[in-house]
This record gives sequence, structure tokens and C-alpha cells, in this order.
Amino acid sequence: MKNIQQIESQIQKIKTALADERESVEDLETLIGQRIEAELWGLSKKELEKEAWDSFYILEKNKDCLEEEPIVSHRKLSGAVIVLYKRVLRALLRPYTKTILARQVRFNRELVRLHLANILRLEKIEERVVALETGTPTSRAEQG
Amino acid sequence: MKIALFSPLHPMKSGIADYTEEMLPLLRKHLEIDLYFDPQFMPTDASLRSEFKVHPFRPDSFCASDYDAVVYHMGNYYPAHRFIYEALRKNPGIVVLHDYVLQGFYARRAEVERNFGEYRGLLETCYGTAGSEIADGVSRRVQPPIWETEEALDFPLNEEVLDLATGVIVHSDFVKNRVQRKTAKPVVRIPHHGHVLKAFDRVAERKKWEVGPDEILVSSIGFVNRNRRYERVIAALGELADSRLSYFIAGEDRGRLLRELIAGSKVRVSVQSFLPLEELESLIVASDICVNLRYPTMGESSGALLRQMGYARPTLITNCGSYAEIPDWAAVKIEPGMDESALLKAHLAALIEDPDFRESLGKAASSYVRSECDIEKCAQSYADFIAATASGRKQDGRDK
Repeated sequence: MKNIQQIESQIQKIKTALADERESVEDLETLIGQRIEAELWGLSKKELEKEAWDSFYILEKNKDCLEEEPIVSHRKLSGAVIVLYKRVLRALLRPYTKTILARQVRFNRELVRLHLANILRLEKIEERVVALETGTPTSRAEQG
Repeated sequence: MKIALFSPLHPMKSGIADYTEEMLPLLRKHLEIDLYFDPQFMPTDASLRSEFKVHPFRPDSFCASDYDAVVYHMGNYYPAHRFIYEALRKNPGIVVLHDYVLQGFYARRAEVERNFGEYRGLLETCYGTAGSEIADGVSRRVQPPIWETEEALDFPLNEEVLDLATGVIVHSDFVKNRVQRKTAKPVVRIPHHGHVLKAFDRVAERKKWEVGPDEILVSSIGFVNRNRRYERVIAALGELADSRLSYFIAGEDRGRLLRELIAGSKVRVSVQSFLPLEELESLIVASDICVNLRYPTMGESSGALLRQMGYARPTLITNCGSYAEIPDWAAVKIEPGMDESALLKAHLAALIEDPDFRESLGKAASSYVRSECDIEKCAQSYADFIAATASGRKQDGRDK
């Protein structure tokens, strides 16, 4: 029969093992270069915060859709021709795509900025709520 | 001291009816009690009728001044608490707040009484624009409704009840702290009492439920709601892929939530919509593991949980709200969120594989209930608080 310390430690051991496993899942995300999508509805506040920041960094990284990806080909012989053909095509289409995508870039930049402002605003509101709940005074400047 | 007590009583299918009927014999050692019930549901327990003055509640004939105090058991289940709410509105008194969030009660009331305007008005009075947005959501039947979300704790819609209360009894510090932020009236935490346990022969009970000696019976009891996390529990049990496992759910599935979950399940699941108390306790005793998850919480305390723990069953609960106050050694506390299913699976596997872990956790649970939730101590605390609140009110009356 286990005593209460042993029970507590057995439960904690299971939780720790799972937390370690979770960390290795995060490594896996880095390894595969993409995120493993989580069901947002079931997440706790802390996990939602992490998701919000992760999503924000992805948006931030990809906001400039004018930034061109290098053209490469894995084919040995025909590769050089394909690359050349694509480069010419891209150069020909650039004036048209630039007109459309420039607007998209402006839109993306504003959207990313708006998201950042909202995330920061939420954080400030949360700080204020905690301060109000615990009775810690906050300065007028911070409140503003 | 003479009190009028308003509570759901059997035949009402309500955990609060179980709670009150168990507490009454001990409470009457301290107080003279008149029981008031909904005239539509005559109490079925003959001993109540013989040991207490039992009255159907009639608003016109009820006279609060005949009593030193009036006590109302208030909860979220509209059919059970309708008459209690109507009585409280006319005669303020001590409120036992079984659920911190009363959104569900008010929404159902608006629907049944076809008085959405009053409901919207109350929401707007309490929460301004946010209140009117909540009313819009409820009228458009937006899913999930607010009372099934984390947001409910910020908009509990208990303000009217707290305004009418002369004192408030709650079961957890989680609710007490929140209530104290809303009202300066006296608030006391009296833990949900542990139940009076009956003697069962576990081997015989297992036979009754057709559970073999080597099988592992996991059970959950109580109304089937989204916040009971059945999809997670069934998925975790299914992933364990253990042929010894079977899962029994005893609870009314008013929203028919289980049908789909069970259809695709990899574990044997049986559902019994409602079990009388004796059978419910027999199921608990026959079980190897109990699961009692709640998330989001409405600030309730679970009588079913104390029954499971009282009968020394190892129980998995959600680490939130009042459940977080249970010590880490008395139940397995599962954090709600991304890892919930994995945590469930890992702990269930550990409990299945280790009978000693099951037995030790069960015994620790039962010792916690015995020491912290003793029904006699709870009855004494009720009597003390009722006396203090009543004398405080008399004092206030004289001061005026």
C-alpha cells in the first residue's frame, strides 16, 4: 500500500514524463519545419497564448509576398532549361504581379501590425485585471 | 431557531435533492425546520413527511416572518429551482449557491416563460453591452452557449440572486472568493458533505454488473453535458486498446451527446440514462476507476465526486475550479487543454496496470472525504452560519 507522498510522486512522475514527451514534440515541429495543428477550443489560457504568438510569428515571417523564392530544379540535364524558362516567365509577369501583390503586402503588413497591437493590448488588459484583483496599484500611464 | 428551507426534493432527479435529504436529519439536531417544496412534486420520502413539517410553496400564503431565517438551495437546473427562485424574489434569505454560474437557469426560464425581454433586461443591467451580446447569442442559439464556455465565469448572472441573499453559503474557496468580490454580505464556505456510506459486498456488486474478476470497469456518473469531456475519456480508453476494459456511463443524456461518440468507439461503452441512488452506489462500488471531469466549470461542487471518493474509488478529475482544491494525493487531477487526452490515457494506463496504485489512491480519497467533508461538521457549520446571519439581521433591524 502506498502512502500519500508515494501516491503524489507517482502521479507527478506520469505528468513529468508526458511534459518531457511534449517537449520532444516541439522539437519535432522544428525538425519537420511545420507546425502540428492543435484544436484551439480545448486549449488552456497559457496554451492559447503560445498558439497566438506562434501564429503571429508565422504571419510576420510570411507577410511580404513580393519576396521571391529562388527558382531551382532537381533535374540534372533539363533543369537548367526549366530554371531559365521560369525566370523569364517570372520577369515577364513581374509588372502585373507586382501591382496586385503590392496591395497584398500593404494589407498583410497592416494585418500583422493589427494582430500585434491586439495581442499586446490583451496582455496589458490582463495585467490590469490581475492588478485590480490583487489590489496592486497601477499607474495612470500604464492604464492608458 | 426555526427556519423555512426551500430545496429540490425527490422525486426531482437532482443532485441537490440528494444533498438536502442527506443533510436534513443532521440539520434538525440544531434547527427546527419547515420544508417547502414545489407543489408539482410531492416529496416521495415518507420519513421527510413524518419528521418535518412539509408544505407546498404557495407565494400568497407563505409568511417569512414566521421564521428566524429562510434558506434557499439555488442551482442551475431550472425545473428543480424554479419555485425556489420565485420564493427568493419575494422573500430574501440565506442562499446556498450550488452553482456559481446561473446562466443556464435564466436562459431556460426565459424560454419556458417566453419572457426573453426580462432575461435580456437582466443581462444588460448586469453587463451592459456585453450583456446584450450574450442575449443575442442565446436568442440565435449560438453554439456552444455561454454557460458551456470559460467566459461564463466572467458573466455568471448570479447578481440578482446575490442581491436578494442575506447571506451566502458556498462549497469552495473558488466560489467564495468570487462571491466576495461581488457582495459585502456574509459568505461562508461549507464543504460539500461526504455521503452516508452503505455496506456493499464488492464481489456481489461486480457480478450484478456482469464484470469478471479480471475485467477493469471504468465508470462516470451524472448528467451528460459537454463539459464532462466524454469525447476525451472515450478516446483515451479506446487508445488503450485493452480488452479487459469496459466503460459505464450512468446519467441522463438530455442533449443526446453520447450517441455519436459511442458509435465510433473502440472501447465497450454502456449507457444507462438514470439510476436510482442505490444502483448508482452499487455501480461506484463495482468500479475499478471512476472518471469525473468537468471543464469548463460553472463553479459547482460535485456530490457524485464525493460519493466516488467516499467509496474509496480512484478518481480522475479536472484540475480546475473547486476540484483544484482537492489535494494532489486524493485524486488524479487532469489539466484541461492540449494534453488532456494524453494525460488521461497515461493515468488510466497506470491505474489499470497497478492494482496497488488503485487501492492506495482510493483509500487516500476516502480518508480525505472522511476528514474534510464530515457531514456532522457541515451541519454544525450550517446551523452556526444561519444563527449568525439571522442574529445579524435582527441586530440591523433594531439599529434601524
